[in-house]
Parts: sequence; structure tokens; C-alpha cells
Amino acid sequence: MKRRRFLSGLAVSALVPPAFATDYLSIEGAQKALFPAADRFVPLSLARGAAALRVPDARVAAMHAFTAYAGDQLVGYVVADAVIGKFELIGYAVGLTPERTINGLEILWYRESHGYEIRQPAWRAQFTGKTAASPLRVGSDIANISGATLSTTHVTDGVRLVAQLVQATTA
Amino acid sequence: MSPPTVLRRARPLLGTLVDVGVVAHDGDAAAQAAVDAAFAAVARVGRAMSRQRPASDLSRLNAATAGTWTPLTADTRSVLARAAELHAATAGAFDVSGGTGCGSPGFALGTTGGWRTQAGVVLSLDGIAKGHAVDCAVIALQAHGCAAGWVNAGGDLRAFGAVTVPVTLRIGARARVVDVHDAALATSDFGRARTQRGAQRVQRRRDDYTGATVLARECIVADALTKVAVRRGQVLPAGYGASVLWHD
Repeated sequence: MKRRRFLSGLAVSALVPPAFATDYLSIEGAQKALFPAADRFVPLSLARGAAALRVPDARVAAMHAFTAYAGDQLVGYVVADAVIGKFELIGYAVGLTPERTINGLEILWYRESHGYEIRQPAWRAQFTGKTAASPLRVGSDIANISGATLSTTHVTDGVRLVAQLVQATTA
Repeated sequence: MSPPTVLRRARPLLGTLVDVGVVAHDGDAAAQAAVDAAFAAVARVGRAMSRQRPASDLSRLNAATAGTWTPLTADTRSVLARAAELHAATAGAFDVSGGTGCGSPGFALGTTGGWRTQAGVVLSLDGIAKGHAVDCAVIALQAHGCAAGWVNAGGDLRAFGAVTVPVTLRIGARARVVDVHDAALATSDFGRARTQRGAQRVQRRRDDYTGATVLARECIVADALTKVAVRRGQVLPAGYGASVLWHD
């Protein structure tokens, strides 16, 4: 999956044609936010946990897992994942302590990709050509959709799976 | 000084995606602390007013025998006080008891707690707690020195300072953009909550509108008054700086 680097809000408002997409953090940004003291993030394979829990390879392949170190000290784990909701894709990153309890959760990005209106060319067309103005204008995006209830149930389910996978991989 | 940028984060809270943004300067650690405090405020309100958590203020209040005093956090007392105020201001149209109070708000408040006034009263703060959470998060941002920013809890939004947030209202397959500047906005759009086929059914039955958006100074008021506004003909109370946009 293509991931965009974090852009400032100003840039986002200028660049994103509002099919309702927002980038909050890159994986690197989330690593720093979840473990500010860590100086190294070493890729971690979750294959062992996936085999133990019988989680399909394709599901785990979408995840990016890291072990976080401050010097030689293990300070925790970071797993970036994406979940598909009813009308949206949400990328998120979970931080876990060395004891594998969840100590943070950050949304990385959001795409409304397959909602009813989003598929309609007429809906998309009405946003083209809009530009930034006023002291500071924030891009049209999820935030800015009012009246569509966005559920984060899938994120909650994803976080649970991530915690189980890290536990089964590293225990 | 470096030009202002936006520090923007989102977390899953209150069952939706809560989006917080502040106008900050590069590498501003205070802005990060402010955003963390805003999320903490939203989480705190969610814990107090969740119907799913048996230990929440709201669950304990609903579970206690009518007339029995239940200790409540300051957040919950504040929301219930505003709910009673808005119940009176809207002649009972805003009702957290969903009619089970039989015309009364259904609860009474003391200095550190409250109680249900009648057996059979079931309170739900779904129509107001999210707005309060947004207000609390904005207060947290301001207390951390943020001059401009916004908090958006799945469509209940408040912006403050020199920032304009264009909000896209979905009205069927059309979109309408409302600029929110130093104000709060909430939407009640009952057509959207159903399936597409269901939405069409609703639209046919009430063919002149499918929902309403309310702008007000405080998000708690915008949130509560959308529930009033969707009842066509219900006039919004004065004094809240509230205005309504019909989705038609």
C-alpha cells in the first residue's frame, strides 16, 4: 500500500482533492510519538505469532512491526497496520511495552475509499479547483464530513489482533 | 519565526475518529503536549458518559434506584445541568430521557451527584456528551497556550482562533461546504444512518429535508440543538448564538 509522508496541514489543504483523505503521521513519525526515548527501530517479523495464532499470511503481510530500543535497552514494540471499515481505510500504529501491554495508539492516515458518494463522479467533481484561503484553511477531509458516522470498531479489532500477534511472537 | 504549520493528530475515541489540530510553529513540544491533553479530555468524558461501561457515571445513575443519590464526576454533573437547561429552553424538545421522564428532565442534581427522579427513567447522553467532550478538548488546548486550532469528534466540531475549517455537509449525493471559524458545528442527519434504500424511504416520507446542521458558540449546544432542529418547526432558543442549516 502506498503511504504518503506526513505533510503539514497547509500542504494537505492545497494538494488533497477531497475524496476525504487525511495523513496524520508517517510510520517514522508514529515511532517517535509512541517511543520518544527510543533511538532504534528494528524490523520484527510477526510470522511466528501468525503461525501460532493461525492468522492468514496476507493479513500479517500488511503489518509493519518494529522492536524499539533506547541504546541496548528494549523499550517496546511498534506495529503499523491498516483496517478496512465499511466505507473507509484507516492506517494506525500501536505501541506496546516490553511486557506487551498497549501504551499508545496513533492514527496514521485515513482514506474514504469506497463510500457511496465517493464512487459518484458528480460528488468528486464538486471539489475540484478549491484552494486554500483565509488565515489558515484546513483541507476538506474526514473531519470535515459532517453527518457521516465513522466507526472505529475495526481499529479496535485490529489493535486486539496486533497485541495477540506481538505476544505470540515475542513471548 | 518560522511560518505556522498545523500539528494534526487523530485517535479512535468515543467510537469514532477524533481529529485534533493546532496551529503551531516547527518543533513545538508545547503543541504536542496540548494535543495529548485534548485527547485525554475526550477520553475522560467518554469514560464518564459511556453507556457500555458498567462503571461509568451514566451506567451507575441508570442502574441506581430512582431517588437514590449517585456520586457523579464534575463532567457528568456539568453535562446533566446543561441538559436540564436545554430541556427548559426548548420546551422539552431536547430530552436526554428520551420521553421516559414524562415531560420532566428525569433527573435532579446535587452538588456532588444526582439521581433519577422516577422509576422507568432511562438517561442517555449520546446527544450531548460528544459536544461536551469537544468543548473540554478545546479548553485543554487553550489552557496549553494554543491560540488557534480545532477538535472534531466524528462531525461534532469546534474551531477557535485564526483558523477556518471548511466542513463538508453531505446532503444526499450533493455536498455543501460551510466555513467554521470561531464556532462549533454539529449535524443530525437521520437519513444517513440508514441503508441507501432506507434513506430514500425516509426522504420520500419527509421529502423536504433529511437533516439539520447547527452552528453555535459551544459544541455542547450545537450537538444538543441538532436533535431539536431536525424536528421541523421547532424554533431554536435564543442566547446561544445558534443558527440552523436545513439539509434540503
